[in-house]
Amino acid sequence: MGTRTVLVLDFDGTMTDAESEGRPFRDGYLDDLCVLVGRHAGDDEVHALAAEVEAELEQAPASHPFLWMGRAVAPATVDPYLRMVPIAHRILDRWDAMKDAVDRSRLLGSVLYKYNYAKTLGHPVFRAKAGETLRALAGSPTWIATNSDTHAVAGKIALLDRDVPGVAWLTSRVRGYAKKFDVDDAWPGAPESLVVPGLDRPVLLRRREYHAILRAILDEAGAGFEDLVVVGDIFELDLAMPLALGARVGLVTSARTPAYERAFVASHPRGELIDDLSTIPAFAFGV
Amino acid sequence: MSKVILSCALTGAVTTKKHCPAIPYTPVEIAEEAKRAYDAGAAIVHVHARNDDGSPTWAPATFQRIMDEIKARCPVLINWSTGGAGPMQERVHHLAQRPHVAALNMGSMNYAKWNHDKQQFAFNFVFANSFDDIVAFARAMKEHGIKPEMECFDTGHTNSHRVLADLGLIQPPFHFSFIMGVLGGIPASARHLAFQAEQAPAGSRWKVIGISRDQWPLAMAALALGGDVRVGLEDNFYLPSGEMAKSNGELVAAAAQLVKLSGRSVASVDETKQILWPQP
Repeated sequence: MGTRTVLVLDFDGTMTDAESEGRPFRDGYLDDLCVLVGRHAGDDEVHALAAEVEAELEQAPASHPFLWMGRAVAPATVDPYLRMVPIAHRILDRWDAMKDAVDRSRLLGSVLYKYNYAKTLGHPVFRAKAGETLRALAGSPTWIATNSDTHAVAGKIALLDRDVPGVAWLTSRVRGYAKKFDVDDAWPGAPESLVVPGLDRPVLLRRREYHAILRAILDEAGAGFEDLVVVGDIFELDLAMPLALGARVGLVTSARTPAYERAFVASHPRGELIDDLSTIPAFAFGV
Repeated sequence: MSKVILSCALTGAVTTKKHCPAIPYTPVEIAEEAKRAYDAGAAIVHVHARNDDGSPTWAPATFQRIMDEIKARCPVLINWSTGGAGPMQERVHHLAQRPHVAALNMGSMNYAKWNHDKQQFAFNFVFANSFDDIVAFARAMKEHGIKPEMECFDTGHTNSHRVLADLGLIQPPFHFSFIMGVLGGIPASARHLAFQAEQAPAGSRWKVIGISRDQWPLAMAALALGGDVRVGLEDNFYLPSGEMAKSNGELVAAAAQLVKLSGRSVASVDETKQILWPQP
């Protein structure tokens, strides 16, 4: 195990099976959108449009980013939580609703997102070997940095501990509300952007709030970005900024991982594709 | 706009305990529900009076008992209804008790509920609120120092506030409620809510009143748009989970949770007073 290596894991989508776990989120979010455009929950036309957008996203992930405050900050294809936002934009556009970008971001990204995310909390669905992997990391300098609510993720870990005893130690290491999607152009702590072949827009790196979370973890561990290993399921959101600052990064893949993200990480000297969670301890700490 | 005023419509006048066992009838029951709503975060309670058998009443003595029972339990701000069945003269006397706020219906409309399966109306009437009545109510409210809550079921109702402002019967910040989803009024959607909000003069305070379970998504839209929210058993029996609420307090608690998710915070009674009656 490296003497100063610090591991930071993303959680939702990285340790969990976001597609299965996110179904109540998706269904509830769509029903709320139906009402918001003046239709009844379950409206056929709204659901058909959602299916159409999902198909488009799958066909061309680089062309359909997740927008935050009107800016492209992540691919929208990787999990249902991100995917729902461009779907919601298309639905609101179709019915000419919530046209102000700030109001809309507040509605979609804050209220509807968190409200429907809560519907997934009682029954987390983990990826294969998630429990065993987290148990194997016991005693290591490992933290979790998540966009989600701290207590929500800690609750999922506590539930996992019932099936795989020995992971509860991580509940105190969760750092929530990381706002990995939030870009602050005025913050000079990272290069402005990164060019990723196959993606015709820059990957924005000035994610000040996320950096502050990572910085606090590193300070607590007495380490720097060169000692950091970050593992997540979305390169642009979880990995790009720490990679630019010297960290090693592991991209946990799924069938929905964009090909350009996969190729970029595979070719980077400090990057690693992770198809099997049980390889994470060895990747991070060399054991 | 970071503070959110939560209002709770405790009982209404139409539904009964057969529809929802938690609906309060008597002054004590209504006051107990007011306390539960206040404890959960409501700053204002909107009150219709009922007889002990649940039938609606405009008897001033009943309203007085309700006010006394509420004041004995909590400092929540009281909002009397003035709308619904009965001649205007019967619906104005209780304003002499000087609640903090009173509802003021701002226009006439068809008011109905359509049953698609039976292809007939569940109910269907003309909700008549002439300008003469609106002005008379507003005069009574001004006389008693009551803040009118202008209830607007459609855009024309919202626009009609200009008459009251011109007559000096309402003072800024104006206080609007946008009721969404009544057949005959404006449809329930985020687009229409935003349009209603645009009609209110800058600096006004407005809230959404969603009917039935649609209340929750509309509350989310209001929170995103900078508005306030009303919940309560008069409007909706069901929690976001789909369970029937066991009290108004449960509905207010659910609304307070939405406020938290939105990044805003619930206004206390004192903060609500500062917002609705700002001191120079």
